[in-house]
Amino acid sequence: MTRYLLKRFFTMLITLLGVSILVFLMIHLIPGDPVLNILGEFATEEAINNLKAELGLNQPLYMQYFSFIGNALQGDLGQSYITNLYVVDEIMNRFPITFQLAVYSLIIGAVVGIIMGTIAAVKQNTIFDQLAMMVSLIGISAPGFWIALFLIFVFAYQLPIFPISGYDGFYSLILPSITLGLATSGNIARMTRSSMLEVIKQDYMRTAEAKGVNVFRLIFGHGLQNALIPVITLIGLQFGHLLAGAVVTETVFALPGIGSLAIEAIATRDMPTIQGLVMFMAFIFIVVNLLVDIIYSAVDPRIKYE
Amino acid sequence: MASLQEKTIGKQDSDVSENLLSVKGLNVKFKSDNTKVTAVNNVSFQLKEGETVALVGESGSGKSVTSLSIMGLIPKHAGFVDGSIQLLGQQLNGLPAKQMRTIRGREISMIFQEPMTSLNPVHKIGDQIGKVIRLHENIKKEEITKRTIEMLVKVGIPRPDKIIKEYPHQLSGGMRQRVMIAMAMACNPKLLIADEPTTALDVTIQAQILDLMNDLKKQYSTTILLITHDLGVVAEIADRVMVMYYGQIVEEADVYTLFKSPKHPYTAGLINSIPNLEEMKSRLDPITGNVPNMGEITVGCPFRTRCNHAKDICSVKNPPLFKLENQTVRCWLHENKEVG
Repeated sequence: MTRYLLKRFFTMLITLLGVSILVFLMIHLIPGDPVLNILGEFATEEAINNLKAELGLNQPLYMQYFSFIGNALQGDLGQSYITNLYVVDEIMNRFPITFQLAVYSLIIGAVVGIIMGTIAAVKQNTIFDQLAMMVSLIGISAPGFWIALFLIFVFAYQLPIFPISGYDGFYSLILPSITLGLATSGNIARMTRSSMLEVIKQDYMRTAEAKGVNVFRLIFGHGLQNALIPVITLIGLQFGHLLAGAVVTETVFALPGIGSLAIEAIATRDMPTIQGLVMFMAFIFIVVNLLVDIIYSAVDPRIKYE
Repeated sequence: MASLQEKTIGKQDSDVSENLLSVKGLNVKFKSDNTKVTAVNNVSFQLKEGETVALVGESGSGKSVTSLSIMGLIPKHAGFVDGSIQLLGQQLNGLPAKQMRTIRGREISMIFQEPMTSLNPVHKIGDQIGKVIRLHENIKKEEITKRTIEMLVKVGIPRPDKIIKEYPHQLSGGMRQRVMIAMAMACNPKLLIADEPTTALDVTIQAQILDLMNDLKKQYSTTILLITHDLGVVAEIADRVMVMYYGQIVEEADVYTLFKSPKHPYTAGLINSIPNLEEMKSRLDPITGNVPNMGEITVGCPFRTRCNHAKDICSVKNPPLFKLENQTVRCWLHENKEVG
């Protein structure tokens, strides 16, 4: 296991290096000059050159890259062009909100999705199945901003239970979590259903039934653990997406998370922040993937890492 | 008084007490598109305590469906089970699900054809065997572990204390079938249904598993209903044989009579298609054709299309079971030889 983890750590470094090159090139090749953005269109030639020198933008591209990667390895992702704050601090300030939002949404999505999917499979082709699949279809296809606005209208405006927007502790995360959780549950429900339908047909389910196991234990004790193996991959992917910031939801609810930071940075061509954020998101994805693989071996004894 | 009355009602219609299992007029139909297809057609038989009876037939003859109906494992939405199935006088068909669960695994247990897929891949061996004991008996956890290890020793598994912590994928097919047998025998059931228990195993392992079943049978005096298409297995282990064709029992006899003088042309055909070393024949005599699809034949004897002795009456009327001296047979050839 230790050897496996070491191997995974090295592949992680290589992946991050690849991501950094791609991000760096993309940001420097897209049209638009960050210096002009900062100084305005009527800046003098001298001022432009001075700022370029100060930001290191007059150096060749590969030199810029090496200084970026050198600093990044020391945990420094640069300073924002706009706020002058360190990008790492900026991310760390905002990440807790995104993290909480992601965890709550995932809990809602996984619990609702797995229960809905399981019921749909066990009661295949009945009204329960159709109802569960309809709800999941709505979850998948309804745009996030629409669900968000609907929830705000009902539970913050008509019935003033939750705040309309802004971040003020746990309460302000409930509606956003439901918004994201609903979308997540749709995918998880569909995957759980098809996986469970496959498992129900297996011989070991018949064996369990022949032992005298009741239906509830048969489904949740014998079937679900087998059915969850593919679902875990999906949950991991969804968690990665949620952690990378739910841009639309954070914007609608005015939550100061990673997603809204990304929107602000893109709008102002704040290159260091964009770069830092993409690197951070890539890192999160890789870590979540590793976690998923470890969880796999806990759920399925046939998977062992050497 | 009330309980006595209930008991009397529960026991009414019961057969002679020595019959462990009594099946009468069993019909199983499955929904297919908009029609119902008959898979088991008016099957009746009795199993006496301690005997081993083989149910023989080709694929699609209805033998597995018969065994699943006894277990109450035909899904309600798919099939209709009609007729009487009694275990020691207790009617099983139509019993509420909760009561049926107390019978499955304790009174009647079952082992299946595919040891490779019949065990849950994510549960430990010890837990899977222990589960049966826990479901049916109210005993402590340490006691369950002890019993589980005992069962594994009985089915000849080495290092049982280690095996209980292992998962099915760590065992071979023969070992897994032993685990299945240990699981089926854990609560000392009255009836063990073995559905092609050796089909998926190679020949040396087959012999070991049959020996094991013979040993356990002697030790526990369990009644065994063996479902198989392999007459070699039948000769090895069965006391009595029932031959099924197209959802009906076509011949029933003790194992010696059946092999020595099979009366139904189908049974004779099955026996002739076994290779024989003493009579060196250049070719075997297989039965030509296939079992007709369920629902294909509605009048007459379903075997007539493959039978060399078919007469006019065979295509008009399905023969009843004729009782001969040592066996019963469903064939017009034996109409006039009936006794009693």
